[in-house]
Amino acid sequence: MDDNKTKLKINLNSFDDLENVREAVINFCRHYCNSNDEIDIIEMSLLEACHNAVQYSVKRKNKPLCELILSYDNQSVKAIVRNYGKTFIVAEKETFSIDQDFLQYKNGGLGIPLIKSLMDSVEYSRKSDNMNELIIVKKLIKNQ
Amino acid sequence: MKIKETEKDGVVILTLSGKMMLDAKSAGLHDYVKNLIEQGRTKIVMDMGKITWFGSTGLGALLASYTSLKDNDGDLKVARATRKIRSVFMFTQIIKVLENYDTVDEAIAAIK
Repeated sequence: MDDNKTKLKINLNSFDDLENVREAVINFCRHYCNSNDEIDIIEMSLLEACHNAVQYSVKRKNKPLCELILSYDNQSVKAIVRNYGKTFIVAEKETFSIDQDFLQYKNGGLGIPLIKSLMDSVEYSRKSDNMNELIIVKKLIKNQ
Repeated sequence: MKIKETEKDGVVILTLSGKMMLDAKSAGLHDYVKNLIEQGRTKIVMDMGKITWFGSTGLGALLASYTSLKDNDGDLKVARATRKIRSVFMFTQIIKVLENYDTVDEAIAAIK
């Protein structure tokens, strides 16, 4: 496995583009991940993040509804998810735990807690011009 | 997502298929289970072998269904969960509360 930085950028303009994201994320991760489990949870986390970003995005002229930038560096896969619109509520969301009352998730609301529990870090920042940026990192298990 | 209902040995089998993530039907799974509970049918096996996409909406509905069944002296077992679903169950430790079986018959035997 090499440690050179690699990047992949995908624009989403509708929910239909999630299928492209899925394929791209799987193909990207196959180069770096050491197990299907790692690929599965990165794929699921990024699909969740992109779905939410598309759902709550406000369309801007000449801008995609959501932008996903994937990179690999120093044994980690890093994803940047950007959209324009309302502020994400990320910091207040707890990490998912089996000790929680599951009924609170009967109509949704599990996306961010799930991403937080599956990935190693989830950071949100509000940029200028109402741009939201979510940075999600998964540290990969090293080959023994 | 589609839900097909059958019954065997007093156990309700819900065969789920399609995308269990982004649609209202996924969230509606909990209402479907609550309706079964009202009918006194509280032992349920969910066959997840035909789920093509799995996300937080579906997982939330699945976990809420588990809680509602437990609150009503019932039980929920999962059968034929795909590798991706099993990965999520493992990383989130859901596997400690929601058991998955290789076949529907094994899940029925475990819940009886």
